[in-house]
Amino acid sequence: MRLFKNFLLTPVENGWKMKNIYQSIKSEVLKITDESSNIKTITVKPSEKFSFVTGQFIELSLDGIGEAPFTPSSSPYQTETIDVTIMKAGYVTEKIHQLKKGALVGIRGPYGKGYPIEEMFNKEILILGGGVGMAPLRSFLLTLIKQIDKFKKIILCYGAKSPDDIIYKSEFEKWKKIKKLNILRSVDKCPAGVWKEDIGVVTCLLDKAKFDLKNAVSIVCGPPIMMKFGTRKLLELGFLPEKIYLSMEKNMSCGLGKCGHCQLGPYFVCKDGPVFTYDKIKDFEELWD
Amino acid sequence: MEVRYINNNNWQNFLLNQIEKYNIFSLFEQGDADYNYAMLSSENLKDTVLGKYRSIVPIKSFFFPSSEKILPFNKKKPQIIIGVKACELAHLRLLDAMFLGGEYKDPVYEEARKNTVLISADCSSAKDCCFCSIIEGAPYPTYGFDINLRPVKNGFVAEILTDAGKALVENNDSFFQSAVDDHLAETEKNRVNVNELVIKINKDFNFAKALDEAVKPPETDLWKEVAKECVECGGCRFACSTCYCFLIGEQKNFEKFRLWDACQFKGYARVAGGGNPRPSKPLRYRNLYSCKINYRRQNFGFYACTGCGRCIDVCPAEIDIRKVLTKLSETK
Repeated sequence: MRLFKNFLLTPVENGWKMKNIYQSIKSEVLKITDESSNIKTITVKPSEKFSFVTGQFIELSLDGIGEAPFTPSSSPYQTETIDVTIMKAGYVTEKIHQLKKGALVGIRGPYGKGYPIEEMFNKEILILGGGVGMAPLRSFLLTLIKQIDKFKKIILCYGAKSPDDIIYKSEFEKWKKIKKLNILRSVDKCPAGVWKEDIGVVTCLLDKAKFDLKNAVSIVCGPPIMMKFGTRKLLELGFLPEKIYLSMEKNMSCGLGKCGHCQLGPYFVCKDGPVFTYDKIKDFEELWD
Repeated sequence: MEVRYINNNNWQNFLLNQIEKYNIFSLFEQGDADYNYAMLSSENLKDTVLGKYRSIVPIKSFFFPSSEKILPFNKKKPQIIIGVKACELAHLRLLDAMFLGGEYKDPVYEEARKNTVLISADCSSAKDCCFCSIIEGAPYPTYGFDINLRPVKNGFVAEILTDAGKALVENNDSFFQSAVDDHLAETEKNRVNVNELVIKINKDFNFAKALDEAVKPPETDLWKEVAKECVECGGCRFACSTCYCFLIGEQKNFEKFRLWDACQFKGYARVAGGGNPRPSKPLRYRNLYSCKINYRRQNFGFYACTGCGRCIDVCPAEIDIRKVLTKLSETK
């Protein structure tokens, strides 16, 4: 018997043909929305059927340039097109920001495990987001809104550097009108009189948020430093580590659990995450970097 | 498992018969004390050897070369690799688990793997850097081969493990004879001797404690000490056949290729915007040892180190994993 012999049967031998796992689906850029000075949302239309669970991510590639991981920011119920909200942070994202309407990009995925929505039914959902970390949270929030009767209450705490850095500005106006959704926002700094909501780091909002700890779960996504202090604050407030869902960012390159780059302890963030509960990963020193 | 005997002369004829049908890679002496693989032809056939121990080149090169096109990729001609050693079969066990396990199978690795017949061999000696016997291995194959050869006087005992191995023997049945008890007794003696040799070579190293516990290697100055010597050439990672990490590159028309990558390079885990989980050498070292003796064992049940000693052989700073593990055992 050869080792792992059953793995060696090819799909062709089985009578069906499978696509190379590294193959992307060509997708057309339909719309580009400026969210802030360094963040854009691009709306793409995949040439094949594509669906995902909120919290899963995709690899988006530019022909001959490179590939990078992003979590779609659109609702998974929106099936014709996908929104990807991208901050200019490196080589590939800079090139993405230069894209024009009609351009062709590649997407492959979806990869990893998303948010376990059904485990959150009948609970109070406390969402803590910072900066471009609102991108996956928008997808998550839209998923909740779609079936809002199934949740007790939703609290969204969102922080940005300045009022100009807040993304999805027009959507916040719509979200504010939803009864079961309570929105708190803060900006780090702002000239006097311009901003009527809170000023300070996003974790301050948690002191104002009203929730029933026994029946609440929290969802955190943002820059590493914000996730670190956000998680610390949630623990202080009494959240159990297994009730804190973190959307982790590591160097996910293949997305398939093969290439090694997103290793976090014995896990690969691309296949075992990107959503982890804090108890699973709290002991890894490199967690927040 | 079927066991047969083949004499040296018939072995040569057997190989000659396969040259047309397969790309055959077999060992040749390189320098005084090393072996390397080369493609077998009727001209070099007489010079090929089974090798007393493993080759210089890591076995992963046959299935996961240093650079290759992965989208699209080329089909390979069926190949036979001869002279593979037990430590290398252990490497392949890890690579199989990484590339073929989980939700997705890597099609490029799979293609190479299923087109290959592995003819392994017992070690008949050991290098100074060999340490399989003290890290859950042994200098003779017990799994993972199609055919294993145990050298005896004037020939080999052939153990036939898989259908692929069986087919190869059946198609060349006239070259093989029945094995007799004397042959097997002779090979058993060799196995015991080489195993003892490996243990003797490693008598100064004792890292059973670090392995037994297989826990998170602790925060210790040891990592700083080791990292001080390291010049970050990545040689140890490229020579290691359980190092599976790769970097994907994009080409025109959405085509892709991959290159070996190594966790010892500073930019390895860095993300856009500059965040880096392991910016310093000691952190990268600790992660490397955790990967080898802890994380992959959690994933698959075995160490990602098979004791082949290639990392020791190639290191220009003479960093020796056995010394590091021994010190690690002492720090606990």
